[in-house]
Amino acid sequence: MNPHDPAASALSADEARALAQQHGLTSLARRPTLPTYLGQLWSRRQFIMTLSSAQSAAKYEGNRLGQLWALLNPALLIVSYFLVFGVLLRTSRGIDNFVLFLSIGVVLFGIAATVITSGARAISSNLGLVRALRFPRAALPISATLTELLTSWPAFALLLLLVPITGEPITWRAALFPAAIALQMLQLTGMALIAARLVDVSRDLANLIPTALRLLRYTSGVFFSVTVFAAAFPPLVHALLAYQPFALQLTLGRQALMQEIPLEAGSWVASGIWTVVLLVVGTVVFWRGEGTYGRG
Amino acid sequence: MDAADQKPSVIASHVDIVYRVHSGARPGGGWRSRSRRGLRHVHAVKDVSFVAHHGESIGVVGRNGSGKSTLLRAVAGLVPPTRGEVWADGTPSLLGVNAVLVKQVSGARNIYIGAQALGLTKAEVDAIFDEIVEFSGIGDAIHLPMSTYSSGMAARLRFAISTAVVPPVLVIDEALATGDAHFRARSEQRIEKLREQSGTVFLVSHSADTIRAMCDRALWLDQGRLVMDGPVDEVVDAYSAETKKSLGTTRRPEEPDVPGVQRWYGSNRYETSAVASQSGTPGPHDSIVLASGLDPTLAMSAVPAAAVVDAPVLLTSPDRLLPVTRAEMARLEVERVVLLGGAEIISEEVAAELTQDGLTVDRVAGTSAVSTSLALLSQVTVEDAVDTVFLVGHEDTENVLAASVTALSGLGRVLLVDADGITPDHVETLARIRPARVVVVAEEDLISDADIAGLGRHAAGGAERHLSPTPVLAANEASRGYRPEDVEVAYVASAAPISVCDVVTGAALASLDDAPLLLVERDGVPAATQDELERLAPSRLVVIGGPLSVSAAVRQALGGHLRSGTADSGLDVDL
Repeated sequence: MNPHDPAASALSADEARALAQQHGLTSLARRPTLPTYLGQLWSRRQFIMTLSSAQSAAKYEGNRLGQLWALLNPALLIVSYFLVFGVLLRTSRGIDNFVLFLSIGVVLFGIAATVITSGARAISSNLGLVRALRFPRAALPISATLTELLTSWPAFALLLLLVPITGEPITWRAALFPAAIALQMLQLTGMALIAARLVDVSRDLANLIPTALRLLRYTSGVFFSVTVFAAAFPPLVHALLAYQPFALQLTLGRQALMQEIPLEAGSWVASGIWTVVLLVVGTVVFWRGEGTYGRG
Repeated sequence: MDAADQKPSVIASHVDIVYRVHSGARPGGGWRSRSRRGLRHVHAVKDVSFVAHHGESIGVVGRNGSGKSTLLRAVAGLVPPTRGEVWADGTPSLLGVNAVLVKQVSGARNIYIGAQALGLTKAEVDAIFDEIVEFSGIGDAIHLPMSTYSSGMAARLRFAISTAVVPPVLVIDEALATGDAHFRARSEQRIEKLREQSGTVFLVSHSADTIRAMCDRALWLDQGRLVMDGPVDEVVDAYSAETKKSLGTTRRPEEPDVPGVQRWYGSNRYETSAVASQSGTPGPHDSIVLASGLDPTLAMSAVPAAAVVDAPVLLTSPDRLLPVTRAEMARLEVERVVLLGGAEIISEEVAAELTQDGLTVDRVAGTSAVSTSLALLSQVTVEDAVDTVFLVGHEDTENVLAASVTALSGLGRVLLVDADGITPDHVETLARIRPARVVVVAEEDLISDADIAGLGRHAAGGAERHLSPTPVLAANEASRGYRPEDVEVAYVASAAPISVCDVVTGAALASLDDAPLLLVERDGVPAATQDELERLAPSRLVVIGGPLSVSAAVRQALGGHLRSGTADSGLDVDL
């Protein structure tokens, strides 16, 4: 008998487990517990930061105008939406400062759409990293959100600049704007985690995302006031339209920067609840798939 | 040394890995083939058990598709086993040639991304940054985006990053195949050092010599099963003996024979090239082109040039000459070998081995794929009346394939560009050879409209951008130049990215034979290719590549397109 015949010398499953335990080896396939997973994620925070800033820097790298596009893109979008909805379709009824209203909608929804799109592709577009290095995969969808946050500061600056330009007074309320952004980013992180898992389970779902985003773009009040347009609907439909997370994200931004939109504690509480729910659900959903990502 | 006394670092217990593949979903197949796509299950690793210890260096050998890479991914914790379990001491790290980090950003940023993903803090990376750069030998290019790196540079950087932290278990998948002799020597030292620090190294390599030099133990996998596990010399000897036995007899494991549809292949791209040439090229040929199988797009772009002078193209490992390649050159009674590329692309060792065999060696010298491509084209003179020069990105495999098969059907040539786009050398070369037409097969970001306008001045027929169809469609288009009554045999290869070398081999053979080359998918025959096969109705088909490149089912399906009457006549002797 061949002394190196592997079948003869193989340990039984139990012997192998005992040997592994004796020497303190850890099983590679077993999914870590949620607290351990979060701990691993926390210890890779610098990695997430580095990856995000690198991807943000790479975004407009090939363009001659470089990062200027981060400003030009939303600006051009605002102008074209203004022409279509403000001038042609006149969805501006009920809003005095329609330019700022529309700008906040376009910029904030644009961020949401980008994060969900890139979050859904977080695994598939980083297969090189996934197949080469072992790290908690949640770092990738999280980094999709962070990348967009880092890329978007010129757009935020544009919004803040539009406040005085459109004749809006600057009050203490503007200090709420960063909080509105923070809540939006945390919610988007949760959504990116969910989208990344779903698309990894079934690639076909990625095809639904553009449609879903378009539907949301037209129902979340990007270029009209949900309160004004939905007033005729039954209260339940109205609440559904006004209190879905995307509509709330825009509402919060507008409450912070526009005097004509009254500050409502209810919106902030609802947004806070969404943040917690989406983060918890997103983290758990994504964590449950850990160990299966990038298998092809 | 007695392994039982040592601390184990990796325990694999009855590991089975079954993975899903989405077949037929590739964009190369045309939209009609999508209706046939489905999930397939591949049983890549079957009941593999072993215990590895600290300080061991373990080589993994086996044919293409024997499950080596899949097993190592499981050892690195990147692929969970379907059944069984893998335990490891700490977090293993995998180093593969295909591991691209973030292409668009600089090497420097990639060092931070990679090292931090491995668990280092920013401060720790700061401390070893210079050492990584120094070891990779990349120099100032570290601040350029990784997309501008040659494959060798990228592999060196990945090696430097992966080994900057001493991982308890390092898994290396063919990484040492790239890089020059100097870098290989240094990486061998580094691996030696890792082992001394009581790490475990797993190494997959096509080169038995590399395994022998660097490992003390070897695992031999065949069709997903662990056939042998023991001291490196015993296992590699047994494996080599088995490979030699099966070679030349074209053993086809578990594949039904299809009369009239032959399959020519070896256990790797180099053997496939030599075996196919042996089966399909009647000798003698005094000159051949020898290209590196690790740069298939460069090799492919040279096939039209070789076709003009009726020279066979063989693929070689850049490090050494395989016995099969050598034997095939002897059979062809070759006197002169044209090496495609400088010592950076095919090593001096290969040139020396050829010279020792009494062959004349001419190098088309270039330090990179692009400069080699330029050097190749600059051998052309105005009198050669080159018809069309296709400009295409070196990294863009699909376009290189499509442009090359199109160029082959006319008197065309292919000229490569890299991320720098059109350089003054490109303009100067084109200005000198004055082709009838320049066709740019690249997107705007690689070659701008302004560049094209500039190139147009050097070609009578001007320059234009033509984003070619998929390689499958380009091959069908080229094949339409053949009248069915002239076609006796057609060659078939897979258009999948992993089978590029088979397309190179197939294209070179087909052009020597003045026969059409058609492309298929691994698991299906695209509708357009079926139509072309119907039109040609060849009496014989030759599939280049093993069942992992073109599945047995596809070979079966191809049998249905043969000219009726000949396939069943028994006149067709399958090799």
